Amino acid sequence: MRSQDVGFPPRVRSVGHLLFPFVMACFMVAATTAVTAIILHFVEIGQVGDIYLIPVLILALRWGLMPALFAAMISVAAATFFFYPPIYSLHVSDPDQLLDLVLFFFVAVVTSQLVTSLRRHDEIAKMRAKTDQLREALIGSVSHELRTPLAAIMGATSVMLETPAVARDARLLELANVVRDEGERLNNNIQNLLDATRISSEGIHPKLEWIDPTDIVNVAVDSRRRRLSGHRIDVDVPDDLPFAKGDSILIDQALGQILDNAAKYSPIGSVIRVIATCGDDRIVISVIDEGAGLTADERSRLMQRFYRSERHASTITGSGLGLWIAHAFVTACGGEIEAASDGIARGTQVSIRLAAAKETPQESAREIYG
Amino acid sequence: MAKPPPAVLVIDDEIQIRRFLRAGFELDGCTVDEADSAMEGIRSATFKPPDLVILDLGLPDLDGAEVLDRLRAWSSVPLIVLSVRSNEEEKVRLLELGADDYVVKPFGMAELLARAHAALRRHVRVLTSDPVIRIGPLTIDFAGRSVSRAGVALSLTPKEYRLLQMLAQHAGNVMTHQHLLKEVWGASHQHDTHYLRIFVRKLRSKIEPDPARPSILFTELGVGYRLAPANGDPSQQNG
Repeated sequence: MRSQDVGFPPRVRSVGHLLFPFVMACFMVAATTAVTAIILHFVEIGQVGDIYLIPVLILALRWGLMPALFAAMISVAAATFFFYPPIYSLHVSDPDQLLDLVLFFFVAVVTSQLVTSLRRHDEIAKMRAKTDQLREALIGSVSHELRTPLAAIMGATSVMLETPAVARDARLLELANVVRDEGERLNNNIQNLLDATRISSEGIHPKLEWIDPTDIVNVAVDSRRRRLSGHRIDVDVPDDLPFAKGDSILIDQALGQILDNAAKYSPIGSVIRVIATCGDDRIVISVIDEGAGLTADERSRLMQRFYRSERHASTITGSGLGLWIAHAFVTACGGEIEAASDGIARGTQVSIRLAAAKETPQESAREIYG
Repeated sequence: MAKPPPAVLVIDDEIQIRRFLRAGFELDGCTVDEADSAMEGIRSATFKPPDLVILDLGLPDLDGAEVLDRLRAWSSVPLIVLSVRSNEEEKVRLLELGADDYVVKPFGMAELLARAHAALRRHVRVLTSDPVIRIGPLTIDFAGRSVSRAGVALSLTPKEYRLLQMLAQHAGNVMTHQHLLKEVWGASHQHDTHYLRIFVRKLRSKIEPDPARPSILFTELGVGYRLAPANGDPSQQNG
C-alpha cells in the first residue's frame, strides 16, 4: 500500500514491466554479437548463427514466448547483417539462414511452452499444499475451539449434577440433564465432522490386528449406555468366538454409529439386539432394531455421504454422515457393512462382516501356556 | 483420627476447566491448588507436594510428556492426564511415562473422580501394604496368592494369577498391553498383544460371573485393560 502511494501509478509501472524483457532481448543479442565478433577475430567457426540460440533459450526460460520470438527475429537479422556474406547487408543468400530463422522460432515456442506448463504445475501444487494446510489448520482449530468450551460446559454440568442442591430438586436435575445430554450430542456432531474431514482429506490408516468381537460389542454398548438408555439392549455374543481382523478403534466407532442410528430410528422402549456370530471364515456383528425399517431406495442409498431419507428429514435430526463414516471405517479394515429390512416399520438389521481367525483362541493358547 | 483432606494440584491453562475441577474436587472433600502453566505447576508441586496431580496435555509452555517426565524424576504422586486428543498411541506413551490414568475431554466429574480415587488408593495401598483386595465378588489375597469369588476358591495358573495381580494392584486404573506383557511374559513379548487377548478371555471365563458381559475386567480398546475399582471406593457407591 505504502509503496503505491509514493511510487509510479500502477499502470505506468506495468508498461515498464512489459517492455523490460524486450529491452533485455536487444541487450543480450547485442552482447552475443559482440562476443561472437571477438571470437571470430581469433578462431574460424562454421555455424556462427547457432550461437544466437543462447539468448533465445534464456529469454524463453525467463520471460516466455513473446520476448523469445522477438530475440529470435533480431538474432537472425544480426547474424545476417554481421556474419553471413554479404557482410553488412540484410540480404539473404543462403538457405541456411532461413533454416536458422525457423530453428530459432521453434526453440522459442517449445521452450516457453514447456516453462509455462511447468510453472502452472508448480503453482497448482503450491496452491494445493496451501489448501491442505489451511484445511488441516481449520480442522485443528475447529476441534480445539469448539471442544474446549464444550469440555467446560459438560464438566461444569457434571459437577452440578453431583451437588446436593440439584440432586434434591427434580426440576433442576432435569435441566442439568438436558444440558449434559445435548452437550454430548454436540460433541458427537463435532466428532462426526472431524471424522468425515479426515476420511476425505487424509484417508484412513487402520491398525489391523486380531480383535475379540466380545470386547468390541461390550465397549460400544457400554460407552453409549446413557444414549441407549431409552431402549432395551439385548446383547447376545458367545464368549468362544474366533478373533476378528480389524482396527479395534475403527470397528468400535462403526458399531457405535450403527447403534446410535438404531436408537434414533426406533421407538423408545423397543428392543435393540446386538448379536455376533461366526460362519464362512467371517465374524458377523449385527444390530437389529424394531424401528422405522427401510424402503428399497433407502436401503441402496443408506451408506452414501449426506444421504437422509425424506421420510425422516423433518422429524429426526441428523447430518447423513453416521453410516457413511461407519462404511468407510469398516471397508478400510477389509470388512463389509450391509443393511437389510423387511420394509417400512418392520425394523432394520445392519451387519458388519470381518475376516475371522482360522484357529480358535483355545488352540493358540497352548503355545503360551506351554 | 482425622485424616487431612487430599490436596489436589490442577495444572491447566484453561481457566473454565480449572473452575469446574475446583468445584468438583472441593465437593468431593479435597483441597485444590491451581497452576495455569507447566512451569508454575512444577514449581507448585515442588514447594507444596500434592496428593494428586491433574495434568492437562495442551499446556502452552511445555509438552505434557515433558512435564510428566520432570515430575516423575523425583515424585511418585498419583497423576491423571487430561487429553483432548483421542489418540491411543499418545495415551499409551503417557501411561508408559508414568501417568496413572487418563480421561479424554470432554469428561464428566464422576469419571475423573473414579480414576483419581483409584490412583490415590493404590498409593495408600503401597504405603500400608494391605495384602487383601476386594473387587466386586472377587477377593484377592496377595500374601497367600489365592483368589476366590463369592467365597469359592478359584484355581488360576501362575500366569493368570500374575496377570490378575498386576491388574488388581492398580484396580480402577488402566494398565497398558505393553506393561502387562512385560510383567507377565517378559520384555521379549512386549508386542504380542495376541497372547494377552487370549489370556484375558481365559481369565474372564474364571473370574467373571458372565464372561460375555464383563463386570470386573474391562477392555480399553487400543490401550490395555482396567479392573473395576476396589470395593469401598467412594466412586463405587452408584456402582
